Amino acid sequence: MPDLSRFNLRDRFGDWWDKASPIQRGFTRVFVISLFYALPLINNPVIDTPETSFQSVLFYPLAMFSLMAVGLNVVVGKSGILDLGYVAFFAIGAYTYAMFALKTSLIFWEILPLAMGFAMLAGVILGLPALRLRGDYLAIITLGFGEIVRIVAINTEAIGGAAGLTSIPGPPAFLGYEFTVMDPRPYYWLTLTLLALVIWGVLRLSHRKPGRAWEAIREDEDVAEFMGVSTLKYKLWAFIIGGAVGGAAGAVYASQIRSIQPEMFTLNLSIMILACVVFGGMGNIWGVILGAVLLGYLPEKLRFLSETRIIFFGLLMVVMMNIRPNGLLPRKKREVVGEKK
Amino acid sequence: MSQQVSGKKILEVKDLVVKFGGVTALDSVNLHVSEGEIAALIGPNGAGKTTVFNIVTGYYTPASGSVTVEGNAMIGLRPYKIARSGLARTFQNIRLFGDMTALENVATAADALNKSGLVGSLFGVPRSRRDEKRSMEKAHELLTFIGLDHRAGQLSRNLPYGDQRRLEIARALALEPKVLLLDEPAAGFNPQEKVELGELIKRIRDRGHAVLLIEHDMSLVMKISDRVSVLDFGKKIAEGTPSEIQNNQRVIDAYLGVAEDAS
Amino acid sequence: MDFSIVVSDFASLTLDGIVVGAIYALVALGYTLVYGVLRLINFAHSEIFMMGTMTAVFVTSILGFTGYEDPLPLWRFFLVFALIVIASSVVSGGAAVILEIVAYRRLRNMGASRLSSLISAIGASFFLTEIFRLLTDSRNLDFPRMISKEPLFQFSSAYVTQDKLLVLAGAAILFYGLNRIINHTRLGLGIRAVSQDERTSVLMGVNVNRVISFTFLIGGVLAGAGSAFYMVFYEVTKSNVGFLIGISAFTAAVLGGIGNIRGALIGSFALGLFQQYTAAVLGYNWRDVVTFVVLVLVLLVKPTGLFGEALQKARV
Repeated sequence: MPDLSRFNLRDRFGDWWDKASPIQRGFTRVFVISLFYALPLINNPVIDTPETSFQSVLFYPLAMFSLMAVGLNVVVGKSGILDLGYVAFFAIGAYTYAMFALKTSLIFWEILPLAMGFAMLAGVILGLPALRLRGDYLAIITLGFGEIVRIVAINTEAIGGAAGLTSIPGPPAFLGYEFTVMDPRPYYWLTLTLLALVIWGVLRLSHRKPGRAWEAIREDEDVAEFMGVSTLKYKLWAFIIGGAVGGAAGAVYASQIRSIQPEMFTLNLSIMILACVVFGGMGNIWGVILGAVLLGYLPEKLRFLSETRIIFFGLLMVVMMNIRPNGLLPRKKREVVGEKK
Repeated sequence: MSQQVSGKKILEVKDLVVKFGGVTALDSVNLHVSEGEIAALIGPNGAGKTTVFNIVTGYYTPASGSVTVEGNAMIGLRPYKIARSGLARTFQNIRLFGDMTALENVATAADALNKSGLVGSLFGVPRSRRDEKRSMEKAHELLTFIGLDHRAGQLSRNLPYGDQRRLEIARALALEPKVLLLDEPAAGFNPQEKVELGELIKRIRDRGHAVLLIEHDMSLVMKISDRVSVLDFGKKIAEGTPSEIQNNQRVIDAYLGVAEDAS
Repeated sequence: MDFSIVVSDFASLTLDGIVVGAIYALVALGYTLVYGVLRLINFAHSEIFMMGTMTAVFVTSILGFTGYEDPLPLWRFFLVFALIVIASSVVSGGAAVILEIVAYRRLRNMGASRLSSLISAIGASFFLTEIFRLLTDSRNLDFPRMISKEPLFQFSSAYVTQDKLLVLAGAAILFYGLNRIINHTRLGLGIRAVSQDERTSVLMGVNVNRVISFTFLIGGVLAGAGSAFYMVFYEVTKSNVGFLIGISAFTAAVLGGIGNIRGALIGSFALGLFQQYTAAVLGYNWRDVVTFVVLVLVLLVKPTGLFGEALQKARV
């Protein structure tokens, strides 16, 4: 039985990447990105999913989960803040889009920043008081926040109450592609583009001061503070970024599904996204995407898993923590061992 | 050694009283560290030495008393602000950022003195770029100063023990502290390493940082310190030059554990 | 918002608040005891409670109750009820012990981070909830009415019924039993020692693993017994019943000061009463929001709760 805790996919790829020339790297990037954009065009029974069309699955859950997992990863994976209420940002984004789309003449592209803004604001409102607390308590409060958002949505008739909101308009046509209810592909490409932008942003931040600050906070928050890192500020930023991404995902989701109810935004969804992060590799952006893809795709492909999805996720979380707490693609860096002068 | 001590007090601790529950950990403690000085804080285990560090760096708030750095009050400030005001420390049990490389450990502290923010880093504004370069250069320079440049890319958790202790010092130095607080930096060192550590501390002082040192190794303390303060049961019982302290009966009694009312 | 209801129905709300509080207390003790020895929030404790309720329903179905019978004569009821309490306690207690071994023990030995333990706890919680959701087909399960709910007497606005008295009496017995265990047995001493200082306890020869298992066992048994009382009172359960009861019980534990047994009791009754009063004014559908708000406020304003220890602050 191989030592599961040390097998390291990322290092093998990492070694190749280091030795690759800029041309090789450029080609790889273009190739991989094109591959992802081309996915909806594939029509192969092997990858097809029984219940819903593959294209639809690509949009939700695959692309949506990936986007949300990357967002949650900044909070949980990079900064070490356990957020059990991530669905709240998703819900706020969705409801903001729905309300503005229904009540005003603003179009999707105009509402998207608003949805993100509201979610970011929620991140601040939640974060300012909550982030002063220690891990377990913070987790419970975030869970509470997620639930409160849902319960408020159920009980507030002004935003639809338990029945929710329907007949939500979609985005206007873009580059010749109509955003219709029938065709999930433009939504997929839209989400993919957002995902690419978010990945770019997060990677940039990770390799600079914010990334180091977050890692230090995750490693040893007290010592980070002693070393001059304003932990509250960076934890808040993690929340804000996570919120922005979740809100964006929610807006896109609402614009596709055209009708939303509070019951769509449950604790289960928070846990599913968390499972993607935990399973894929906490702190590793590629890992969480891999986790999201696997945990999104497998239950769609395998009938028995789709019924027992949550059981599977719950069990997975327990097993992963016990056997391989760092996830599939670990966060640990590859070292450069130099010569002593 | 003593000529460099200017007499200007950088760190002043006055009438510090600290209570944890019912226990008085520090009882009206007065300390100071002057510019260019290597001061030592010694005393039996449990005397409250690390507590002094914890209060001075802002981890706990005292019941009463004051802590000032160059006249600026530190009590009530959050630890990160105190760190940026010129007090940096190391820890009794090494507390590095294990999964970060040696370079990143130092750079994280170096970052603290940069003003650039998150949005700037994201969009690569010139100030962010300059700050990033500055942090990296400072980190490399400090690693070289401390003799760990060849370890820059290694995870700090994988470094040998001695290197980890020195890395913690380099990290604290990145904050350009006015007073460097070292908590038992020689723990676990062999005699040769302790000699080297002594030289390093002197070099640090020569760079312009005053040093306050908690240590149990008396020969090291006596060799490099300008002034020694002794704590016992939360009270300062003596202060003076190393030779004065060595011959102080109260200090000797404290270490030997002679009870006050031994019959 | 009509505040006069609180005044006019004060006795009734208060009685119900105390009864609910007693049930919360039996669950809250589990949270607080485990937190005391492990500094871990046992997220899956709510499912331990839920499994107790399921056991109670199961036992009644085995005994042949259809739910259409008349209430039993009192002596028969006590016999049946004792059986149910024992069964639920055994199942919940056993499940708690197994839970600790499977989900937490290895992490504890590995020195895993709190984040890892919490994630494992959450995974276990969801795993159990979903298993039972599938087993019960997401249905509500009814508990047959075996005891008459006719009011014995009326005190102001409060109708005092047998089931309420049963809950109060049973809880009192269990609290007394817990007190004896904690304060007058060796294992109870071990629990108190480990709660205060685990390392020294080990040095003093305390078998920490055994103490921890025992703590989980006690917490589970109390929750199991509490679930039996819950079923007599509420007469219905569902696979996700753990979640809402758990939030209330946990809030109660935090309110009283998590880790503090007396605090858990007082917090539970306080929360039970508060829930009744606010539900009367705002309506029951806001009850859970109110509970969460209480939790958030306590954690923000006085995280140590009414009687509790300081929030974990590692010594530097």
